[in-house]
Amino acid sequence: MIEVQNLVLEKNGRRILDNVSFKTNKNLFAIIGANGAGKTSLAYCIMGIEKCSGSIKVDGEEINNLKVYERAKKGVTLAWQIPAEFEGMKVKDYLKASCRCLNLNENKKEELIERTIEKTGLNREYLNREISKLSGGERKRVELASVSLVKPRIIILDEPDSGIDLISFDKIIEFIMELSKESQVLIVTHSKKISSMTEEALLLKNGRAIKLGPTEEILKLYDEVKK
Amino acid sequence: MSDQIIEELIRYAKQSIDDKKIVEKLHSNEVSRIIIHEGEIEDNKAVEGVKIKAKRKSDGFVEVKIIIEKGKKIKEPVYMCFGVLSPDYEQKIDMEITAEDKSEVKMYAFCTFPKSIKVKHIMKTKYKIGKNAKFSYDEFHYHGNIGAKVKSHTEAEVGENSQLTTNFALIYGTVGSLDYKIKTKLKNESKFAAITRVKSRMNDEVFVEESAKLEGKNAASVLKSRLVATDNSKANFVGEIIGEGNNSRGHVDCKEIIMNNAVAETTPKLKVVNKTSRLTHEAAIGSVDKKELQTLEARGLTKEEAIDLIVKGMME
Ligand SMILES: Nc1ncnc2c1ncn2[C@@H]1O[C@H](COP(=O)(O)OP(=O)(O)OP(=O)(O)O)[C@@H](O)[C@H]1O
Ligand SMILES: [Mg+2]
Repeated sequence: MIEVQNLVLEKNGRRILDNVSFKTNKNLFAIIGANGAGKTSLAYCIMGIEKCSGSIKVDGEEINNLKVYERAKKGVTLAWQIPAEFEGMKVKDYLKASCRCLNLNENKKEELIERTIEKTGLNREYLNREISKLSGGERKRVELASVSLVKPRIIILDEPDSGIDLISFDKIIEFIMELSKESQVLIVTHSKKISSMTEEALLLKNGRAIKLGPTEEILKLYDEVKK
Repeated sequence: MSDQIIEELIRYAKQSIDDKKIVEKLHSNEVSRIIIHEGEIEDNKAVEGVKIKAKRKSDGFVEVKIIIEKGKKIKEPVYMCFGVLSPDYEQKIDMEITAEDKSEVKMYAFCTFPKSIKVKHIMKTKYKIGKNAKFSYDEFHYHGNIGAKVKSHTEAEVGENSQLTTNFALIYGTVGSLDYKIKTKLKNESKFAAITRVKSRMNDEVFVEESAKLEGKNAASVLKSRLVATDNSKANFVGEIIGEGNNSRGHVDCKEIIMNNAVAETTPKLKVVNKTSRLTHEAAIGSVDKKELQTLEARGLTKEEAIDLIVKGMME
């Protein structure tokens, strides 16, 4: 369960998020809005990457006063819209770091890493590749594998399908479906295609929460708002 | 020869490198090795195709001459251990390595001064690389917790169609002060690739200069450095390439990360005296990438753990 109340984010004198509130216990939830609506900003605020005023509660516990890694320890993680490059770092080392906090022995972790990378559609040879030398789409998949290995309560996926080709799209949907069995997945997106897999959605426009409701209704409203 | 000293040097050599297996091989009978502790030659043995001569000179230098014979492809690496186990000693080594035509060799040098308080290590080196040869030299340092004063200057000539690869790493422990220079001259079709990786802390002072003079046609060189400077340390890198030969190619690639009050400087020096030559450079100096840091924090790593991992990746 995540509950956000009266989030306000200002940057350089501009109000980026204007009193955003929502609450959901759905495991597949979408944050929908056009370019510049404030979706990524909202994701950063929840993760603690941006500091904002207001309240963010995970299963009733306030986390908005916590640092990024403390929020991660409370079970929140984020997959970036454009993942970091990590010059020189191997995929394997990134994924190992991602499951560092799991209570498993090294062998079990390695098995889990191998299984996870394969589920994203990349074979295990990718584990020895350098992250900075991957294509954009490949790096997005590694990012998905990474958040899944944290086994968090809440996963925010910022535009998970951007840079993913049509053939791989279904594989990514499948991957997210599986994630949602154990975690609450918040999908940040402007695309109807990916949001239609969610049950509930929040519509953002110009930094404001316009409406919260079943995804189908929100998507209809999204069309109207766009006009 | 003292086995005890040799074992201790080997043990400390392991502190300088991640891959301990490389050091373990020093025990093997199939490798050539020269081990010098302070001013004493503790061991010197060579396999077929390799000749190692070492002697003490009157000026306090230990002279080391190594020859890789013509056409010989040396299967196992040639090892060097130069160490000082006392807290205060000035070690001076004058080394010349000749890789004759068509020879191939990989060398590992471990320089360890683990208990140094005031150790000095002075190293003058010459590589003479013939034609169609492949020569690679990896050097790992460990200077203990206080650091040593190291001056290592190398000059190299790379003959036609030959390759020189050097890798210098001082990643663990404290540096003290380091003055590391390698100057090379490259003939037709020859190549030189260098990477230097140094992590400095406390009041360390690091100076690294890599230089390549591309004399011959199609000569090529890539000079890389990865420096991480923390606390009050200073790191300075100069990467110099001179393009003389027709179609010679060169690239300088330098990345420095600074933390706390450290100061970093980097200077790519490119000079083209032949219009068909082409030289490029990229340099980045700054703190740890914020996004990389936040990504790892979002996976539950503390800031310190995240920095360690990012720096480790950069150093590999
Ligand atoms: N540092 C800043 N200073 C001022 N405005 C900013 C700053 N950073 C972002 N913004 C603005 O905040 C708004 C929201 O940005 P945000 O990245 O959250 O949008 P988004 O909904 O994720 O868009 P997209 O679909 O393009 O990813 C945008 O109008 C953007 O220009
Ligand atoms: Mg965005």
